[in-house]
Amino acid sequence: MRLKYLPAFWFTKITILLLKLLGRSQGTALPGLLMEQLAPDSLNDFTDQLKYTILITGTNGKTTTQSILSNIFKASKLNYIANKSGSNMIRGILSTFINQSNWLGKIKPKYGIFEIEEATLPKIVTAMNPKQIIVTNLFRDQLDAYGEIDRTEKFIREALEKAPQAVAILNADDPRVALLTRGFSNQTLYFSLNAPEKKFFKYEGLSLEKLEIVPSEATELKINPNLSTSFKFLAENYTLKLPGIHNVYNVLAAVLAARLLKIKTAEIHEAVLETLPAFGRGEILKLNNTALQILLIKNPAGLNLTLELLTHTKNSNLIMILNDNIADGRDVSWIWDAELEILNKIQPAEIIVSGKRAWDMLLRIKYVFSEFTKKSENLWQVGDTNIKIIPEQSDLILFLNSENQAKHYFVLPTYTAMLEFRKLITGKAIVA
Amino acid sequence: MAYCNTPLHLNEIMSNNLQLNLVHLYPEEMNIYGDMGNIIALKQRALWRNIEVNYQVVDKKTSQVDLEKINGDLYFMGGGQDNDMFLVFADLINYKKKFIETEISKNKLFLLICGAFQLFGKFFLDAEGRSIAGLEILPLETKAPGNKLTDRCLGNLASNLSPEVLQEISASYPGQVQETLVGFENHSGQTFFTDNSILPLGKVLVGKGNNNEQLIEGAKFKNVFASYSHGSLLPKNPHLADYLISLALKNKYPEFSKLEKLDDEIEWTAHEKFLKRISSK
Repeated sequence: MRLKYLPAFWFTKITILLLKLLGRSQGTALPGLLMEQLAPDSLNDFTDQLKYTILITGTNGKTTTQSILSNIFKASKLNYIANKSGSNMIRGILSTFINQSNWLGKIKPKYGIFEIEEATLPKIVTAMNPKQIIVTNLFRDQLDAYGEIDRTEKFIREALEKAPQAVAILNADDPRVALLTRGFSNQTLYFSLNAPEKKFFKYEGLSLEKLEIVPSEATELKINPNLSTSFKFLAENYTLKLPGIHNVYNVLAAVLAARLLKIKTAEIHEAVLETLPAFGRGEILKLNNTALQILLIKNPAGLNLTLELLTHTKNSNLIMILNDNIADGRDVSWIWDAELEILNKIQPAEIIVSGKRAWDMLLRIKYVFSEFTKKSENLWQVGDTNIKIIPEQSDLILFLNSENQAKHYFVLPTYTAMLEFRKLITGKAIVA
Repeated sequence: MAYCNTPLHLNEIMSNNLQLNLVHLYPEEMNIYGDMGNIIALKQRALWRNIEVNYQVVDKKTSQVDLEKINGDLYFMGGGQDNDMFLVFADLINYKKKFIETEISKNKLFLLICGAFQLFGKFFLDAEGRSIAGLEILPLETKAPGNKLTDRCLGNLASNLSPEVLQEISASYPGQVQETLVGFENHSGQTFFTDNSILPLGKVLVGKGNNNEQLIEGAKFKNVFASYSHGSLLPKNPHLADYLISLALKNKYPEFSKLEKLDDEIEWTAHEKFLKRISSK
């Protein structure tokens, strides 16, 4: 830390310490905010201490890629610093450094793994001096009316141009991403998925046929009934516990990054296998003998991918929980944009519908089928599938508690429905 | 409830030879907030009654030759974001206006949601003061007061059907009819009728409806029905869905009298629960 910045740095440290003592701050944004105001270019003072920095950007999968890569670094016993998801703008990154530095502004780790919000990337890329920049993908937001995705693409291109020393690790299946280093001097590595499941991703842009890109390809992809995925990449067989093909892409990026650093394949392998699903993204909770695997649903595209994934299961038991609180979106129209018709392919043994808008979800499901036969109060049948409505989540838990057999449920809740469900389950039983 | 416990397949035993040509206008550009649900509802409610459904799309790619072959009984157009609307606009006015006018003069059914509602009017004046000419089929005009989120009509929407519409719906829906329409609105445009030949669908109970001042929702002009309700509109309002199907069939088959009754327990329960949830807030 340069001398001129030490007073500002100490002031920040002391303020945070006091606020933490008072229980007023977790220190995720405020330290960075103060430092940004008091010592605008102090980011350099921290980044100069790192010898190898990897930046991760893209519209989806930044956090997961960072977490897989962190696990690999841990397995390889490399001392690294990483920011938390959501602190991926300048002040969040500064906060990460401030929280991990001593009173002289010294940090111990020599490696940095940072996820960076796309628009922030060109602003900090020079100060961060990355050795690698990973770009996961560039998906258009569902309501992207103003060409936001084109601007995002420009930001990343600008950053790559400013950092010619950085190796770019790019998703070759996403044409927008694959072309990012065209015309620049960055060394570029590509990853790709050689599997029909690729078609579920709405990548956009030019066809890549003429680009002569030779990506490292993942092959022999197989989705297992427990929703884990097996595949082969760079002559190694991997099994990933995180559900969803999108997570395979995140592994590919992380593995390429680690291989470039010459980390041992055994360590990479072990770290990937031990990566567990995050909160709501396939984590498994236990209630007595019942396993409850939570797959958060937020929008039609996400729900479609989850349903496609569930076509790999047999006689599955589903629970769909639809809420309409602010964090879920007040409007539940989106369930009509989702392709619930995929339920015809899943043919679950049982569907339980719950949540504040359970009847809307039941109605959506009814309109999937050519017949929908009422069996008794709150119970319907379609083919071999039983469909039940239990609107109150507390009643749902009572019902699950009364189940005698060991069952595996796939639980598809909206955001606040998931929080409520988790609370009800973990309040009653041990988390697996 | 009277409409419970009628297994759907019983209806299918009674075969008939009715056909419904369902035409979706600009499904790619004009589909937002679940407007597709209206197509799903119309299709399924017809199929459950063994009415054959021919689904066709009319959009920018439809040539004049292909357009002449279209003979829809029921036309649907959804809402879009303002930018998407402008894309559709030129095509609609330049190539489809005559066709649509002719269809309306033949009493063909139209259901228009949100953006489509606005496009069929005289003009749309956006927040920057740009005026965009509409199809000038419906006697109405739309103005957007501003671009701020607070200028938007956004939220749950419930209305009481106007007596005239309710009476007609009651005559064609084969079950006990609710007097309400429910949905979700999200629009910046404020729509006002310019003469008395157009009537609202209902009186607003919760939400804004056509504009901030009049507490009216939707429109009926000849056989053109319009609403600001996404939600989707038709699945939770089976009386309106059946009314539209029934009008379309009557228009096509003069001897057609009434639709078979379906088990609408789930539809009505969702409708009632929604009303309860929004009025308790």
